[in-house]
Amino acid sequence: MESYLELFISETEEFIKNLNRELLVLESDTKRSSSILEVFRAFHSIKGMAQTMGFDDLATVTHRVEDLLTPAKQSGVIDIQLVNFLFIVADFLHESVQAIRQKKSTPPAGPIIQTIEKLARGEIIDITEQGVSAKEISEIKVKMSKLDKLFNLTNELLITKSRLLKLSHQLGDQDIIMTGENASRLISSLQDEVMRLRMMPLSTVFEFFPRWLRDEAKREQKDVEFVMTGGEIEVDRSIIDVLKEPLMHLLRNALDHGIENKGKITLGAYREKDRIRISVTDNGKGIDADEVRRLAVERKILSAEQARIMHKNDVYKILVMPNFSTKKEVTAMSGRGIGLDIVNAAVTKLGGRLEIASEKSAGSAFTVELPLSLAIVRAMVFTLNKQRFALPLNYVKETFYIEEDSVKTIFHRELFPLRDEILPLVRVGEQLNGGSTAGRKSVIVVQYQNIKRGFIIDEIIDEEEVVVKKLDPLLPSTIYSGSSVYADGQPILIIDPRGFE
Amino acid sequence: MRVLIVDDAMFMRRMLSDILEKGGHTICGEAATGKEAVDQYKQLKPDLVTMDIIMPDMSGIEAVKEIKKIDPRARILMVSAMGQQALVLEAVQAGAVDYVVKPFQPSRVLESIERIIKK
Repeated sequence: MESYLELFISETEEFIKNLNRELLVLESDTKRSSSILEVFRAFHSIKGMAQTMGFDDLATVTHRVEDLLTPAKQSGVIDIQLVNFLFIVADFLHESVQAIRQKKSTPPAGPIIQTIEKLARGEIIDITEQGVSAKEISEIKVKMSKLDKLFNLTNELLITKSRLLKLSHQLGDQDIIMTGENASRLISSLQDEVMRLRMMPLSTVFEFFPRWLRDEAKREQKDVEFVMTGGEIEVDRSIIDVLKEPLMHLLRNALDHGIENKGKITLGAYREKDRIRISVTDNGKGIDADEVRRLAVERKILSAEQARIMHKNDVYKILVMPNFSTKKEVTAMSGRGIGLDIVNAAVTKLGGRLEIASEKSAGSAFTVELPLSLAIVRAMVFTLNKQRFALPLNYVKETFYIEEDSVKTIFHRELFPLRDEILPLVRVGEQLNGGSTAGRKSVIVVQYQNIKRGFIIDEIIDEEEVVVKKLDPLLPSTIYSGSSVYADGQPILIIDPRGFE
Repeated sequence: MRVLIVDDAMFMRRMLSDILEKGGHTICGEAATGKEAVDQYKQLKPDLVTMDIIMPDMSGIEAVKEIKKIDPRARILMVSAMGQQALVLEAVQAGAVDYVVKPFQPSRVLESIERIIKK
């Protein structure tokens, strides 16, 4: 059923939109029979879907409303009191769908159904009173620290869950296995639910920007139109906390160097599966790729030949390199240097990416791509010397097997010719646990910023979603970014590839 | 069986096509309104049509009548939400062979199709 849920939500919302549109028509013309039919159809279709999904309250309400509408459908005239009431029902449906989306409990259907019964008996209803009772959704404020505690507890539960499952299977008793599996399912849902509690809308960060940008623009005497979209998208608090700085950087760049005296800046966010993309776009003069090429050659970052054949999109990647972007001339010239390396570093640290696109005299777009949560990471799990480790998947480019005799050594550095490039190899085992078991090795090609390395490991086990537990701050580490618990209940360390040389 | 699915909600079309495909049938087309259903029927000549009743521009009942005009041997299974029993009867009179009421059990849909094939 879960796979249909998204479709149910989006389609029901579409029907609710139509419903509101047709109700507005009926409000000024109660004899528009085509609108009455459309209203009827909206309730009917929502009913069918709600019944199928097992949302009983929604199904009951829409079913009752359908009955209520039958006389209007036949006569072609609708009572204005009924129209007013249906607006409230539309709100109720909308709130219910929102609640379903957020996996919260839906608002109580009782008051609506009572009013439907009154209307069915031909009684006059008090719309204002109804409006209040239909919105009886209670919300409470909870301290973040309490949520964090709850979150940590559920993570501990996950460990217990894996142990329970393993033990119950060892015992082999069917009843115990069933109970264990039930408990583990409940624990998983509980964890899901707690993860959702931590989600906050992007608007919590976004709402700061309009006023700030207005003040900044005024100070620089620029005329800026500022548009924001996607503030309703929810992401984990861990992301919200660290988002403001990099976005401020990008907005400031757009204001200072993107647009000239007058222009438009857009801050837009949208979701792509379990990732979020936030773009800062301006309609200014764009970045001159040729000028970036020229400076890259001047600063010996590229050879003349490399610069000539390099694709435009790759040219922009040079902008985020620390040794390039801090140069004053660049700032004055292309205007897009300031702090991009800082933004890039911050975004990479969060397991994200910074993308730059620009078109001469059309503008630029800086897009930050991030996971929805830092608390759960997709990771590649591998073994070294029979010990397991996890490596966040966003660093992984590819993997392959390697024979010892294909490793070349040049100036004490181990290398491997991978297609048309030379891949520096890192024996991570030497830094992790002192070695490796003999036999066939695998290589994980790791990439961060412009650095590519081949990590030699024993064996890749699988890809897994792992809950990240921060390391004790008293035990700082450059090679580990956190720890987690593997499916069998054993602890597993998450490595940070940037700590290896 | 090549099946044409008619329903104004994509949700329902997706669910029906999943059920039918799992039952070994092929979905040859989908329509969201009565008119689309009639047009698609002409083009695709499916072995079976699943037909919703309440739809924009032409109701399922009228679509059944139109399709029966084009092809008297057309096999149409009505799939309708509860509360439209009177209309379902009308549809059966217009030439639909069977009906399933939403929310449906996958097995009930497939059984009904089996019966239709045997007829």
